[in-house]
Amino acid sequence: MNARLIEELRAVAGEANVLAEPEQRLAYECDSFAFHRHTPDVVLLLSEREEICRVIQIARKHGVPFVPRGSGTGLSGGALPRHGGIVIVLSRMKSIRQIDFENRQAVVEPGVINLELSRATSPGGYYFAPDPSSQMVSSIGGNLAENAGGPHCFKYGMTSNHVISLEVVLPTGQPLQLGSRAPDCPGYDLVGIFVGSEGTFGLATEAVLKLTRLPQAVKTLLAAFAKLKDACDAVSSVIAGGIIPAALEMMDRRTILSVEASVNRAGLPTDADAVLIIELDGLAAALDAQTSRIVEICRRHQCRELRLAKNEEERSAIWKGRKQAFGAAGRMTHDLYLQDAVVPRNRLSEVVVRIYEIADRAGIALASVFHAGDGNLHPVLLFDRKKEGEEQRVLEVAQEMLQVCINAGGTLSGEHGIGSEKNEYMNMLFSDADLEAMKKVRAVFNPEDLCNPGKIFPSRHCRFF
Amino acid sequence: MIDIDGRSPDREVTPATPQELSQVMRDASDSGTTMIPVGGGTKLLLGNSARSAQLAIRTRNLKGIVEYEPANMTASALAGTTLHQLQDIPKNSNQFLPLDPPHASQATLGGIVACNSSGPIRFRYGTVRDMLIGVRIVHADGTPTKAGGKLVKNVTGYDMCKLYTGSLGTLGILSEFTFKVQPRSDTLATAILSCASVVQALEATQLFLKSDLLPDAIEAWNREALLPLSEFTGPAGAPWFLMIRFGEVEAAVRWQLERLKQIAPQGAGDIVNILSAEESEQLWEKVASAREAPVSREEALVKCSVLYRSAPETAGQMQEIGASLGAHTRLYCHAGTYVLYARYLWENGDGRNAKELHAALGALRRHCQAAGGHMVVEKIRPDVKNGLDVWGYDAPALEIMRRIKREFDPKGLLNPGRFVGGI
Repeated sequence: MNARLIEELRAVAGEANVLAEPEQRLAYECDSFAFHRHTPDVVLLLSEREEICRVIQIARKHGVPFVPRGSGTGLSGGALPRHGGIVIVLSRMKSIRQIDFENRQAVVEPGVINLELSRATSPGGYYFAPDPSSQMVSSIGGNLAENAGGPHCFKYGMTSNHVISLEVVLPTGQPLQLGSRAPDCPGYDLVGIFVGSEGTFGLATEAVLKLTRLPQAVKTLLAAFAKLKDACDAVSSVIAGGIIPAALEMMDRRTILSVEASVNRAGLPTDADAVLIIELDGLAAALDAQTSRIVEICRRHQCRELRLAKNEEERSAIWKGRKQAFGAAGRMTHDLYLQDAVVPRNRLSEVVVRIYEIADRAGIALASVFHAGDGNLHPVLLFDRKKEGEEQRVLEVAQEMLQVCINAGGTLSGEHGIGSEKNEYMNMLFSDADLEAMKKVRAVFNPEDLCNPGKIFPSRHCRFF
Repeated sequence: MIDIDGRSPDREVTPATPQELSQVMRDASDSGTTMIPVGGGTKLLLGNSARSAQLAIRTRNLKGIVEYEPANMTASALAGTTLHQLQDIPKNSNQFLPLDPPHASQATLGGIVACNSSGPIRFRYGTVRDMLIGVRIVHADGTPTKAGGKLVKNVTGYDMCKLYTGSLGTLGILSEFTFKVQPRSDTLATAILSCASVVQALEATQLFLKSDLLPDAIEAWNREALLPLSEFTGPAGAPWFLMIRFGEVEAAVRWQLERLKQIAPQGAGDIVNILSAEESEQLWEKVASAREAPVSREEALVKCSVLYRSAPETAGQMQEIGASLGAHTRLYCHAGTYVLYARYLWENGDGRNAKELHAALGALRRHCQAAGGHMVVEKIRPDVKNGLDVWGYDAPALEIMRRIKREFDPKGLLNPGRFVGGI
């Protein structure tokens, strides 16, 4: 990267906020999707909207790509500087500017950590409902870009259902207000299309988010099954029975064992093939009736043990085990590949059974922990990168699993995004005409394709290939 | 015959399949014919007058449920299906699509999505954007595309469902939808409270919102608005009424009614009636359509959306404007979401000239915008639309919207001029 450009960036961001040395830049070569790496030419730590506008103008002048980054917890390479250039880190913009209980809104900067917002609002009786497993570290800006999910989006919806309006800097360097704090802003829903655009439509510099009332009561049940298929069938029955738990999560045997062997052990039954975590929330007066319906359904599907968390401590232990399950899986192996796919909930058990068959046949160990209530599967493939050809084989097996999901009416990603991980798979699902419609929107927001290039679309649809 | 702002399109076609729709649009595009999509025809007056309206494309024959999967809690249907037809299918399974726009028996899903129609239960369930998870659309040149799917959680590509929702047929004609449906509540109940003023009604609402209550909907209506429904309000006469709907399992509905009795502010929100499940069903069906119930008098329908602090003053202004224009003013406020509708009705011969209406509505719009909100004129006499932008939206983001329109409809053939900023 030319020295002149670095000088211009230093003049805008200040010497200390420009990371140009190789060892500084190396830390930004990937996000939490470590399969793809590319060291950026320069990394900027910015804290003002005006700086972002000026940096983008400089990047455009030099024709250099730029990539937004939050906490770097993304799982599809969203923050990967695939074609080099500038990584713009927004994690210093972490002020909660306003909490407005009357309108149930919070105004935040993009670097605010997801869980911090709920911590700040819970004394007033509210929280921010989207709760990705990374919520202790992931930032609101990243949550917006990826349209993050989480266990509780079964009942409360994804991040996009909780974003009211945005202040953004477009890939042209122009700041712009999208939507309004008041409801029903006339015109196209630009907030809706911006959320989940994986950093290709610019950078959000402020977000107005919807706050949700803390539930009056919560009940958390743990249901253990001898057979994985029975657990899946129980999930379909709960949904068909017209019950919407706050969360409906599943862990398979291998995950249970790894959680129980970790510091986050949750007292899960280690002889079960699968456990469901079923959480109900809402009015205390409603929960008894709902709980007994769920118990009845679980029993009908050969549930062999049902446990109700007796207090907040027991409940926290269960959730800690669940949210750290991915980390615990890391102890079982050298490397792992976390797949994210979705299937219609009525097809859950047949697809899950098929996925285990595929792994068995390929001789790859599989651990599974997923948002069963949403049909959002997270098979974790365990392997050793050092073994010749193993990484390639794992990717092929993972793709075969995706194809099974798609054949059942499913899709490529439920919450992790497409990024650089699955962009070449988009035609498994979408025709070129479908992709052209999406590209029209990209052409409006990001006409030069300098903002996070090489993501979402197959490479032949991208300028940099 | 379709009448849009006093004018009829030159021709109309009623394609019977998505393929026919695609062919019709390709032909129209090739010949440079302007197209006006029409669903159930309940929102024909929404939007500015079209610059040109050569071909009306009616979607009413594109109807039917494509797939309903209770165990996936999703329903897919063609765009010309009415909301009622969709609601009838899942009835036996205790699931429903939680939308209550006016005229559920006539309004088509296509129209509801394109106009982003909603009703009182948006307080609990949200609006179209919160439940639409898959679409098929035919673009201006006849190209069909799809987006989303039958998944309740999906981040595969851009969220095009959001872009098409509320786009008023300016980006294409929607042909099929998949919605996330919800369980029906075991039972319903409604409490009706009387209030002395809109301020009192909204303050009481704020009190309930801060409590443990989880209502489906909270409506604050003035007496004039409730007159056609007076059988539900009991004998009490009051300037304002609050209608609060609860939907849950029996025990939770009962608990909420008890709790409401404890916290309702005496003298500033007295409970005057409690409706059973059956009465509630009847009331809320009427409530949903009330603001658009047919009348033989001249009328105007205005929607203001604001934030809590400015809601009482906005309602006050809406009422004053009605008085200054010599109209009967019916005010329908979604009290928990601060979306307020005023319906102005004039006795024969009392209607005002366009200039007077422009001045009064302009003042109301300035008030809403100063408070960070919006004012949209949803219905008004065709001659008054001349010289009036019914949307009143001119924020900088309009430029992005215009570019999106140009990308999707470069010839400007779909509903030309009816949407924001002349789109």
